Amino acid sequence: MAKTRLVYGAAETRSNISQNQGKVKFGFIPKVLNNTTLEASYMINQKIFESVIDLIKDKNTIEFDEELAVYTVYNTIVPQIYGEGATKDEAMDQMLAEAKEFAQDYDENIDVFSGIFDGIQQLLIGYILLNLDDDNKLREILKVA
Amino acid sequence: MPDAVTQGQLKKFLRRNHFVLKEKKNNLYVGMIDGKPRAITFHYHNDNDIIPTGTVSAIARQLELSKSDLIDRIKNR
Repeated sequence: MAKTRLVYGAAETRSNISQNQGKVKFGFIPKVLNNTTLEASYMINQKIFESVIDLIKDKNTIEFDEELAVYTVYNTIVPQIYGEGATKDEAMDQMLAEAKEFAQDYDENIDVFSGIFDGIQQLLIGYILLNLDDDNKLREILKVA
Repeated sequence: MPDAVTQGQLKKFLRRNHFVLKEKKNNLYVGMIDGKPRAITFHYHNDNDIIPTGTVSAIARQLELSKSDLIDRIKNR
């Protein structure tokens, strides 16, 4: 079996990436390994990405504080995303707004958050970031009716 | 309401555990609980405002603590 080369020139790297992108659309998953840090990254196509997203079983927990007459709704995977309101709908609308703000904070401080959140949490937040301009999609992602 | 938590009590708890506000944003705190890094979102308005019980649950989950454990820690019980 041929030994995997670990060092490529710039032009060769571009050519390899281009070749890999051509195969990714058919489901091939290339791995790019940093030989110094041993950190790996992978490229996947939309079909695989959406299938992985579908595996996330996120849901919301709703609690009502009878003394204060306030509903709180929070995402069970990323509980940093939550909203409060006098009605369930109001709490969910606030949660949606919070999700956008939180995802942007995450994006700005991703180096800090990568050490705090697990992979599933990062996948969900990343998916929110990819759909930041689409409220209907965000409602679907966050299971907000 | 012996288990009621005020915003001021939570803020003191965060300070005791060396949580800091992350950059300009006024609601995102980062710190350590039991040696593990944690981030919480908490909207502070007034020391005396009571935090809704559901929000206490959400914050406990953010810190990966049970709600009763979080309340005990906040109240130093």
